[in-house]
Amino acid sequence: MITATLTLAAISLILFLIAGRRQDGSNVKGIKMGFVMFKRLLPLLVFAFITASLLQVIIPPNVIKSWLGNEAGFKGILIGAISGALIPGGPYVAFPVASSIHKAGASLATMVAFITGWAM
Amino acid sequence: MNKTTVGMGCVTVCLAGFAWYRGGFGMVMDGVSLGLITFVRVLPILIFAMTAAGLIQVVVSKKAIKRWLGRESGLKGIVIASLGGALIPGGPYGYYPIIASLLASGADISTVMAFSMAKSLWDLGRLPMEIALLGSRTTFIRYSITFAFPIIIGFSSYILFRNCGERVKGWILEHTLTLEKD
Repeated sequence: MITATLTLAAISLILFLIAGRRQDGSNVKGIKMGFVMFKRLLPLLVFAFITASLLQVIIPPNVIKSWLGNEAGFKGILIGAISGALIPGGPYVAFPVASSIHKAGASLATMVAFITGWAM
Repeated sequence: MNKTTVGMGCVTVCLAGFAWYRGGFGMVMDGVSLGLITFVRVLPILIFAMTAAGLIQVVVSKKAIKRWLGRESGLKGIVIASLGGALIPGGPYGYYPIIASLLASGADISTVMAFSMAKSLWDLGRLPMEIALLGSRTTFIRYSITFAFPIIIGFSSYILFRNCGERVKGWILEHTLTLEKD
């Protein structure tokens, strides 16, 4: 999280300096454009974050884990992919869940389907 | 407020209703507060991502974006975009603003598809954690099986959605970015 923030901050800073070298106010224009984008998207973002969190409390990771426990074959792969898509949150949530369903008996194929479903 | 926001708001309200039905007011509050906390936590990333997205449009010339990521860049553009996707850090709130600014500046739908697929499937920043938590064997299998997909999806979008670029660009300019249409 911090690494990502710092990297994006560094990218912004480099772009800002490059824009500043032109001395035509394009650095300020760029930041203004970013700010307008942020302002326009703000309500949507707040709703999106609340939606994702509501999904998380309605379908907690434990429930998804129990769906996957002993399913095998094609059905396991299908359920794996769908539950991967439903798992909210970043890698800190998805990988531990994946690892625990594997320990609970899910096959490698189910796990690969789960991770891919989550990532996409 | 545009249609997308209203749509998302409706989904949020429906889910809140469902949460209320399943677990009462407490569950709704859990979800809402978790959402707001997550939002505040990722706010710095969001701000920097939007700043970068705005600056990309003034710094990187449209000609360069067209040449490297535009329709005429073809397979080369798809490969470059995939590599960019593998390298870009941050979650969806980080790379979607950047994708939007690239599209608005003339990137083709195929390169943008490859970029977002590679972010999902090739993400280098996630690699250490995946190895640590799932083991190198699983990680290797997952990477090798999904390896070709960013290129395949970029290439299929190139063939199937050749006329979509302008429409998507128009939508983005109207809804998120303020770049003058030229």
